[in-house]
Amino acid sequence: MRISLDWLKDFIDLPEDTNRIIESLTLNGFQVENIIKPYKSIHKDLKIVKIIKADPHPSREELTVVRILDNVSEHTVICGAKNVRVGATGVWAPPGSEVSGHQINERKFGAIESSGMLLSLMELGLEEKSTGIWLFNFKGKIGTRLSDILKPDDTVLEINITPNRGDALSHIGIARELSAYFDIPLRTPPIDFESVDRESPISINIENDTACPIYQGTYAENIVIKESEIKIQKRLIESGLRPINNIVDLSNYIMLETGHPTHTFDYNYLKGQKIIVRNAMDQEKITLLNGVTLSLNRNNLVICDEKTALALAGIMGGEYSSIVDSTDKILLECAVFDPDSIRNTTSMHNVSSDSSYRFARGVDTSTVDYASKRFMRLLKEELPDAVVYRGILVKRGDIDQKKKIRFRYEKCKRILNRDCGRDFIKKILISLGFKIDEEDSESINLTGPSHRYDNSMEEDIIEEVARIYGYNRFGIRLPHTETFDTELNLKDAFTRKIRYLLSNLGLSEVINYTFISEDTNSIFATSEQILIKNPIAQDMISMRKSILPSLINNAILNISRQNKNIRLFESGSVFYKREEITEELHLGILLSGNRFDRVWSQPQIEYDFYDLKGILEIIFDSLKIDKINFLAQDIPNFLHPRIAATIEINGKKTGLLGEIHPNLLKKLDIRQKLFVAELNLDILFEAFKEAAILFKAYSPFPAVDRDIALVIDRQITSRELINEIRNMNIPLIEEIEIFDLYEGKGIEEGKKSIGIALKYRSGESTLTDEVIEKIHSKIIDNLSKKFYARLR
Amino acid sequence: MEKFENIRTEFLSELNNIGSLKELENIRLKYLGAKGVVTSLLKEIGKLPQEERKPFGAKVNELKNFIDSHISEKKETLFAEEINKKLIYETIDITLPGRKIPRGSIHPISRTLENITDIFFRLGYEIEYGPEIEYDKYNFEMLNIPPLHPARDMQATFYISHNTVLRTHTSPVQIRTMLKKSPPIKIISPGTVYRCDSDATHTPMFHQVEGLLVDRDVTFEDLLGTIVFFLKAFFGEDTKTRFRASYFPFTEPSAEVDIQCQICYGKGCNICKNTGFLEVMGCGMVNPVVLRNVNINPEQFTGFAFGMGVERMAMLKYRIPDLRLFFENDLRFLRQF
Repeated sequence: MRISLDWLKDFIDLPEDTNRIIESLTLNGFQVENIIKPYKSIHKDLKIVKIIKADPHPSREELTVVRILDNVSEHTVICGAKNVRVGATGVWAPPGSEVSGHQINERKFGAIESSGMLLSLMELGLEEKSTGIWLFNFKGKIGTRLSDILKPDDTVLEINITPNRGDALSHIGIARELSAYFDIPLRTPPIDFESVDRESPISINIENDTACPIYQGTYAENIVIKESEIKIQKRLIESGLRPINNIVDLSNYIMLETGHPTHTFDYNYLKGQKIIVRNAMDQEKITLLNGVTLSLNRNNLVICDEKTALALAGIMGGEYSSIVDSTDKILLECAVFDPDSIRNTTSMHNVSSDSSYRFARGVDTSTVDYASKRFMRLLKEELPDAVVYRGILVKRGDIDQKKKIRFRYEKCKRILNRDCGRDFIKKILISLGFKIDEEDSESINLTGPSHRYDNSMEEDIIEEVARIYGYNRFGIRLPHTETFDTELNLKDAFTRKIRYLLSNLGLSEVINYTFISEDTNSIFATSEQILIKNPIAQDMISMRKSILPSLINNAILNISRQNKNIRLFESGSVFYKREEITEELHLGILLSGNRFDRVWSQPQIEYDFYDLKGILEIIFDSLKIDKINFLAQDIPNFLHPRIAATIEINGKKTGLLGEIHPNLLKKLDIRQKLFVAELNLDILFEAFKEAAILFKAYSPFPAVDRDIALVIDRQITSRELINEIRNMNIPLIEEIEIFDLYEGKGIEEGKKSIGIALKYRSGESTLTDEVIEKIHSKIIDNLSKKFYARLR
Repeated sequence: MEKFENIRTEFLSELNNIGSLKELENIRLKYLGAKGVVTSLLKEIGKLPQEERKPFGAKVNELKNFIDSHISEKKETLFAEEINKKLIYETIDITLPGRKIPRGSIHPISRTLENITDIFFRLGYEIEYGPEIEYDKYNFEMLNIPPLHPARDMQATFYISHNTVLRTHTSPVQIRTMLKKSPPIKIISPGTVYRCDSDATHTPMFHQVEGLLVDRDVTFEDLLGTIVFFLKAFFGEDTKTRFRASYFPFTEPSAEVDIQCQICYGKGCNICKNTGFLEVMGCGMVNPVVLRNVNINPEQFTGFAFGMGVERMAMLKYRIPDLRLFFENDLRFLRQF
């Protein structure tokens, strides 16, 4: 909310130092987010002038020739605005003055020279867009400099008011706070005015007093609709509201001053001299001031006359009964509506206003009459001939009951660990408007001020004490609570281990949004999607089922920025809809481009399947997880059908790896191969918990290395060969390793040459050539027969 | 005798004029070889009269030793020279970069998250996690934020269904923990959170670390002390802290925590919007309504809670100017960490 310091001065003698005000507000929970000087660029030569004559331009019909009076002399200005009116006052920029940085000169329009110009609020930098020149009622001396009224030093504070402090959404509300901080008395603005001793010609009937506990209607006649006085308009502008006309402006003014939203009806449009506050009927229609027509239901509260709904209670008036230029009689509504009812309706119809904003946070029920009278007092200042009748007030019986709170000094000390002093506490509470009903040495019974909706229990009072005492005056200490045995929890340690391992292997960790587009999500998993009902954008609607789409996006971005060698990983949540929503922790890896950045010492080798597989194997190895199976089956469609594998750990499907299918690459317009892997870290973690490091004894005797080179069919896998050897159950074999793979020249089509290195060792003795030779040739024979292999 | 002297002189001058082991070998052969100078002198001994043999023999031996030792000495010198030459020939450009595998990196958000959790480990906090798709009940209602409450406006929410949301903070983990365990409770809950908000200063997904301590006699001063300890550990020992009154539905009293601006040291600059302070955390004493919601008696136990945005902490720590960089994942950004 915007608070004008100048306005505050009506209610309190502010400290000289503005920084003190800002700091104390900020520390007390009213964070000053911005300090604005709205008039600092208003040029000193701009003057307030009176329009004394207005004629159509002889040759250009869209223009008006305006004669203005600046107290000493008359001038002619040409004006394009449609709202020029003889007798009105406005702002004149004479030749030589400046408007938003531009110098104003004499300028000819047709045969007539314009001596400067009349200004709109937009030209003064006080409004986004204006529909005409700025006109106002002015009681001072014509010719006054504008900067004497809109002073360059005028300061407006933009304050962030937390939702619990609806009472502070007004200048009096903020003044009340400052009065407590600085111990300065508060002046309440006057409400006395000359009224006629006649009751307003209206009956008020509240049908739903839960939603509307109090309603006051005040009738006034002999109203003339025109521009408000400049002082009123100035304050609305400072608060960010647009001046409309004297009646609407006053209603806004009262809201900004007292915190009470009010509404004014054109009395001529009220049928049957009745105001009925009731629930809307199903499908009852109302067209609001903003032109929107709503179809209501029983949960919405409306203000009606005998026949129709005139206003959506507390939220917005209807178009039908609104104040127009011809209005000469008004009915002022000052009421309080229940926050829940207001919130319900605003969220149901997605309609809100400054008024509903305040009702949703709680408006004081005890100052309804005050706010009505304040309105009429100011109305009489503006329109001395207006005739104001006595208001009619209807309220629920229990409305004046006050909240009682018991406050214990001991509890306050127990929570704050500080004795703030009884006298100090009492003084704070009184200055905040609390009443002490009873007290003894241990406690006080308090009645809270009716505007403080946020205070209902002892802790609320303790907070008030701490706040005014000053948070920064408290001491500090560490809690006595024992230290738990909090070595990193095991799963954290596990993911950290993997993440740091991958980063040490050259991969960069990424973090991505977990929502993606529906289309993308369906490419990577076909199960039912979890959708966000109110997404920010359509490509951020579906909770991801895989980390891979995020990584591929990162690859696309990096390729487009010439980062071609891409090594990424992410560990994060993925989401599945099973019987209920399940979240899994997954790890995704992506490699693309070259194994090494271009550097003198390394050849340029493109990544392939085995680079990625190697990384996975290092992960498994460092976690001491064995029983891993890479299977060429169940390959999903987004992967290359022949360069991909699924991964099983302890027989459980744990992940996959492979090259992204060329078709998908083409669709994504990616021109380099992508290799991706994804692991379910929850499953991997289970295997990790079971894995243990157990020492195995090793032989002191020397090993004997023998190689076998075979030419076999291309389809035969290395695992088949190795398993065949293993199945021979030869205890002397210590290691089997594939050391060479060759296809091409010298090897016939459909075949490959494979080199197998065998390491033999005995635990009991040094092996002799004879022993080895016998076993080795048996293996060769076996492989040759089994795989129709040819020795090379 | 003059003859011996001449041989010595000649030998020494020849030795001085050579530069390779091969030439040295030639000299050795010339003097000590089968037909060498010294060898032929030795052969002369037998032809001499008996009484001359001994002194002559002694002279020849002396000469032989002289030549021998000079040759050995020269040999060592030549060896050393040759190795030096070879070593110089092998000179490499040590300014070329070493051979290395590419360097990876840890994302600044997780790095910061780890820094934060590690500090609370030192203070003996346990870590607790919860789901990212959360019940409205845990995310709001049990935290004293009923439906339609204006406080919900502070946290624009993504809805999955009428009663499930993408959690807007990690506070539901506090509720889950308090329902599961009884005091003393001393936890932190790091994690991903979501708000329906996207502009220069908001991303729809971000990260938080929250803490909760519930025990007997936990006071406001314990809270302030814990926050000050943490901020000094995270930002440095000379970090200045300021507490401001604020409002959160789940704490009372509530405070926002500022640190003195790290850029201008309180003088006022763009980063701190001329306030001299930077907002870093929110905290407060657990609202008794929340304690009652999880069946903890607020007359018996009190507690405090605090929370912070990890991105904000990372931006301040690493001086990252734009929030969106975190989720763009440009390698030139990532590899700086």
